[in-house]
Formats: sequence, structure tokens, C-alpha cells
Amino acid sequence: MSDTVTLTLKDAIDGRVVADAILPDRFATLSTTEIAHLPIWLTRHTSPPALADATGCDTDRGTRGPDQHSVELGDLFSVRGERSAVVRVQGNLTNVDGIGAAMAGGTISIDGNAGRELGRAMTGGTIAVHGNVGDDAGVAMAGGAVLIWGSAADRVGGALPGASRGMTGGEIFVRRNVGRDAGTGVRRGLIVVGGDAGDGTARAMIAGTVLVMGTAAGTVGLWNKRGTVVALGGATVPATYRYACTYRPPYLRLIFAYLRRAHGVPVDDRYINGQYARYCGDLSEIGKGELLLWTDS
Amino acid sequence: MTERPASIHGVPVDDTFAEAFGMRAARVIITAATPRWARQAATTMTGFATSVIACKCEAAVERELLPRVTPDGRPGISVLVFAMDSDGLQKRLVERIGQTVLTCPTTACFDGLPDAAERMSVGKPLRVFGDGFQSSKVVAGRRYWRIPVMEGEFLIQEDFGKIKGIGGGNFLILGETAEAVLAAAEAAVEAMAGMAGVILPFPGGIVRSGSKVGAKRYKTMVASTNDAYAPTIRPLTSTDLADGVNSVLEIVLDGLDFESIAAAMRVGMIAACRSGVRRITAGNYGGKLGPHHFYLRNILGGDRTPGQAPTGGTP
Repeated sequence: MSDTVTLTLKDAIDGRVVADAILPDRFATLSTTEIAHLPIWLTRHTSPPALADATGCDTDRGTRGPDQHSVELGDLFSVRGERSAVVRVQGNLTNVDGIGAAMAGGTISIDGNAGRELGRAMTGGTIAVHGNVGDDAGVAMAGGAVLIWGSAADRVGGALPGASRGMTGGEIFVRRNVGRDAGTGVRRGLIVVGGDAGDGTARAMIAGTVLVMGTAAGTVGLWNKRGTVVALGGATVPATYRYACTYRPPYLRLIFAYLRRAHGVPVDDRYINGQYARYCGDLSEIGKGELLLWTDS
Repeated sequence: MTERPASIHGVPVDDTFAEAFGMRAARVIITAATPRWARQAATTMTGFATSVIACKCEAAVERELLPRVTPDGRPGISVLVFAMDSDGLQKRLVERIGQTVLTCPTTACFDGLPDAAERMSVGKPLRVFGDGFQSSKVVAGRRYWRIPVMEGEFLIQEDFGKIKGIGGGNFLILGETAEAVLAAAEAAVEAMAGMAGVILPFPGGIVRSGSKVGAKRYKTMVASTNDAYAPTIRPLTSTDLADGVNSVLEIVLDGLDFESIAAAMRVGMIAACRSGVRRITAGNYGGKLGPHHFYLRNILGGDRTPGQAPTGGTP
């Protein structure tokens, strides 16, 4: 048993890897050799990831096509340590997808960028990425925390293809920007974006909170049922939202205090003490959601 | 072996114990825009909560909290509430928070025992005041209710922790004059103010009408005057007052655990031993009322472990 299991990428990857075998709760019971023998999928061309991965279905593992084949984790990574739920991954992992998918506990720390579907459907534990991540980070997650110190691409905390709801619990913190459709279909949970958010933020949100500390671009909160969208840097209010009042939401103070204390997120006092314009919507839905826009007053 | 002082500053301390009983306890954190409004809500919430005999619960302010330690970063007050059973505690919290904190401008209300395994629903039954317009949020795994009100919004945590507490820790200050005893009691209360895990539920922390169980004359009375310590009827009853004692005041303490009460009693008794005080003693019923025994001399000697009869001691 060791304190940490460290995976170091041996060489740059030509193609994409689906590395959903990198799971701290699984590593906690495995020796170094057993970890190195875990199967992962390598795709030698640059086609989109297999639909099977996106849906979480693994029934077609033997029929993924001629370009995709199973290799062992030890073929691509050097493995140090064993029987620990603390995992450190080193190297340029931009092409490595599915890290921490379905993890239920433990910690993954990634020194650099990560690929798509980081923490897909995870239910517990913490993933910290000291770089940028690809699409679908935290997609369908139900618990735990994803901390991204760089930017994230599209569909952060969103839904799996065909699913009616996005993340159902847990927390996602992105220090910089996110792409399109962050928080699509969120049912429960917290997404915090330290920078700007792309078009389609909180689309079809059911509940939960999306906090954008920069600007939320394009359409925001369309078809929102009961969710909260906060934009400190402003957002365009959809036509299906109605202004309610300008006030200091007690709930936001709770969120900000939590972000400062638990995650060290820098929150300016003007946001904590400031007034927010509350818009109720989406009135094309049940209208119990809200858009809170910080007002410099 | 722990020293067991028989006197403090020349004031004799009886070799006896305070007898306390088990209660169920909750800690409520009230925050507000300013310390004034947090205090106002806490004061109102803990009104008419001196004794379970008639108030159904005992409650008081535990201490003031700085913004850096409250859940929402605002000035706060910690309140402790004690009741005889779990159901009663939950009902009292819902009643009191609903009528005194929800109604108070700018306040929010949080659980102060987050590590307590046993939980009770408080914010959840209050949420319906929102008449369907309320909404819930989960932060750090805990659910909060946002209830729209005319001022803006009331925020309250859904469930609160409850633990086994202790009620009825006490000591009596016997002195030459009412003025001297009151000054000693005030000094004790001031010394104990803000100590963690303890409240003094009576007015200003002081009781002038200590009671005995039941009554000699009225069968329906649950409690009646402690005639053994009432100086005006000294010749008419079996008194415990020596000559020269003309007034007695009692300090009653409820706490989250034995150690907290013992620590506060020690500080309070030392502060109370001053000019004009003839004796310090405590109320007990021979061990029949409750299982928690606070031996005064053990406590003064720094022993905070649950009470055992000292060798050769007389309860």
C-alpha cells in the first residue's frame, strides 16, 4: 500500500484514449501490476469518441470497429504505487477521455490538460485538473466535485445524449471559461464558472445553480424550470423572463461564503454585498426558475 | 488526586453536588444584516423559555458569532434550545423560529450542530409558509429553503442536529444582603457569558425563585418554592440557612455536555465568591432526579469528569 498511485504518460498519444479505468476507488484495492493490466480503449484516428462511451454502455466493447482496440493501462502509462484511492496523473492528457468516469470516491489530481467526459456520471470523490479540459466534463454526474483550474469546453455538467436530465448532484468549479451549453438539463448541483460562459448556458435547467462570475453570452436559461442562474458580469435576459425586484439574495451570501472557505474561490466583496436584479422564468415553462444579475449599485 | 477546595476567597463551598437531568438539545445559528438584528431575533426567540416546567423548553443565547464563522458570512448569534424529548424539541424549534426568526428583518437561520447524527426537520415544515413559491437549494450537501417574504427572502436550513444535553446544572449563592448576593450573581453570569456549549436560561442568567419538586400543600403543583432557602420563612420551615444569610440567588445552567457545564460552573462559582457572600451550595434531590451530578468541590479543583461521590463526601 502506498500514499498515492501515480500514472505518468509515457509518450504522446496518436489518437484518442478512453481511460475510464482510471478510478481511485478501484485502484484502492489493486496492486501496481493489476493497475497496469487494466484495459483502456485506444482509437488511432481522430474520429469522435464512440457513442458507447458517451452513453456509458459497455456492452459493445468487442465491436468498436477496426480503428479501436483495447490496450492495457501500463502500455501507455508508467504506474507507481498501489492500493490507494489517491491518484495522480501526469502528462498531456488532452486526448485522454473518461478519466474518473463513474468514480464513487477518492481523489484524482491531473497535472495538465484532460480530454472529454472527465468525471462522467461520477457519484463521489474529487477530481482536480490543473489545466484545461475537453467537452462534457462532469456530464451526468451525481455527486462529488470537479475542480478545473483552467477552462472547460462545451456541455459542462450537461446530460448524456438522449438523457432528460444533466447533472443530478455534486459541484463543478471552473476557474476560467466554459464553452457552450454549460449546465444543460441540470437537476441538482452547483456549477461555478470563474470566467465567461458560452451560448446556451443553463438550457432546459430543471433545478440547481449555475454561477457565472463573468459574462454569460448568448441565450441564458431557456426552458429553465426551477434553476438559478447567476451572472455577475451580465447576461441578456430572455424574453420569457420577467423582472421581479432588486435585492440581496441571502442564498448567494451562503454560496459565496462556501466558495471562499471550502474552495478558496476569490469572490469580491462587491458581489457578496451587492444588489441583484431578479428575473423570474422561464415563463414558457413553470417559471419557478430565476436569473440573478449583479447590479453595480 | 485532584484538589477539592473547601472555600474560595474565604467563602465556604459545600461538599455537595448539583443534580442535573438529561435533555435533548439543539443549536440554532441566527444571522442578520447587523449584529443588532441578529440579537433581536435571538432575544425574541429565547423569550419565555426559562424552564421546561411551564415553557416547554429552555433556551438562551450561547454567544455572539463573528461574520467569519457564520455560514453566510454575516454577524450571528448562537442559541441553544433544550427540551425533555426529541418531539418536543422539534416542535419548539418550528414554533419559535417560525414566529420569531422568520418574522424578524434580514435574518437567516442555520443548524449549529452539523456533525450531529440525529436530525430533525425544521426548515421543511416552515417552508410551506411560502405557499408554493418557496424553493430549495443544496449547498455542500445540505438543503436550504428560500421562503419569499415581503422584505425579500428568508433562508433556513432544512434539518437541524439534535444531541443529548444536560439540564439543571446549578449553584446557589447565599449572602448577607440581597444587594451583595445580586452583585455576586451578576459577576458569575458575566464570567460565564459566552462560554461554549452552555446557557443560563433564566432572566439575566439568575433565578431568585429556586424550586423544590412538588409542594407540601398543593398536590397539583409540579414545583413550589424552595422553602429551605427562603429567608423570610426561616422560623416556619426546616431551613438550610445559617444566621446572617438574608438572601439567596441561584444560577441554573443547561449544557451540551457535562464538561461544558462543569467548566462554566467553576468559572461562575469563583467569580461569585466575593464580599458579602457567606456560602456556595447546590440544589439536589439526593440523586433521585437525574443522573448527572456536579460535585462543587471536584469542579473547583478542575475535575470536569462526570460526578462520582467523593470519598467520605456527603451528597
